[in-house]
Amino acid sequence: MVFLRIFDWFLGFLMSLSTAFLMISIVSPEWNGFIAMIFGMVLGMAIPCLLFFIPIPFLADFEVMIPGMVCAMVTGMIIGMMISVNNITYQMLVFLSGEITVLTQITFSLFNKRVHGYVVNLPTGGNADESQLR
Amino acid sequence: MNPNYAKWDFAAPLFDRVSIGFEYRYRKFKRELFGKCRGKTLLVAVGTGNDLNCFPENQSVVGIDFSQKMLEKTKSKLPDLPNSVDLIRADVETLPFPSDCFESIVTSCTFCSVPNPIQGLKELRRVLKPDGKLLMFEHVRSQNFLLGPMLDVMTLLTRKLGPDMNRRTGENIQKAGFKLTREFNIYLDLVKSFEAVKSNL
Repeated sequence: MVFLRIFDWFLGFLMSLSTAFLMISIVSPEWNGFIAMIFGMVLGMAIPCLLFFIPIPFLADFEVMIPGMVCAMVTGMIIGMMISVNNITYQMLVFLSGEITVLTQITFSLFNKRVHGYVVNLPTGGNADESQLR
Repeated sequence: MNPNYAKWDFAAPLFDRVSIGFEYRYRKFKRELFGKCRGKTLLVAVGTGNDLNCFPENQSVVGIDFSQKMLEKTKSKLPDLPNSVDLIRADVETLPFPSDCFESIVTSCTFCSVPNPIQGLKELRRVLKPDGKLLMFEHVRSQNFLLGPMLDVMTLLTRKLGPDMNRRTGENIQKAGFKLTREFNIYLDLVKSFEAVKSNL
């Protein structure tokens, strides 16, 4: 499972990095910052959705797709805002993608730890009450 | 002809390959859930038969699916299974079984693809014995303010070739006349197991 976790994080990083590179290829500094940010978000959402259709094992798993999509969306939005005000180097893209991936994956791990487990747990035929519902 | 039939016939050749990760991650949870079935058991949407390995040995299972190609793949796996399995081509919304005939009903990532989930669940309620149990392993729409809308958008694409990502299966179970006795979050609040019994309507 540790191998899988590393694989999930790596794919999240790749989705994030792909979005970053596509953003600097498509968006120019003349773009309005807000429009560029929204475009980055949409692009970040589209890339993982397209990967869903590639029949490669593990690629369409929830643990890959959902955090990967958030990584790509956040990266797309930040790069969109940065392009209009800064010159961005490739090293910055890699660093930023890595940083966003780590933060996103940690957030998802913590969220998963918080919600994992029973939401309802009644003896068969019992009635739900407030104490048994989370 | 239901357009879903063609969609899942198309997916059948690649189904085992793309679901390797899903099976690897969740097999433990499925085995635990399916281990609770007793007596004559209906497995809805048997697919390519991957879930048949998750039942206890010698469990008698009736597997249904509306995709002929999926059923053909399952048939090729039957000789290696320790269970007695009968395969029937059927749609969960119109089951070809008499009322009150199964002691357990099991679904595994099924109700993300049923066009009318409440109708399908009502049919399951009909064929389940009064003291029977419904065991479901499903992915559902997240209640998180960010993830829920994301899954809604993803569904616009994913339903073209595969499942919906934003089904509210927990609510649908209750709308169909079941009482939810257990709901367990496996991954976030997206992948869940449900246990339900017939409620006294």
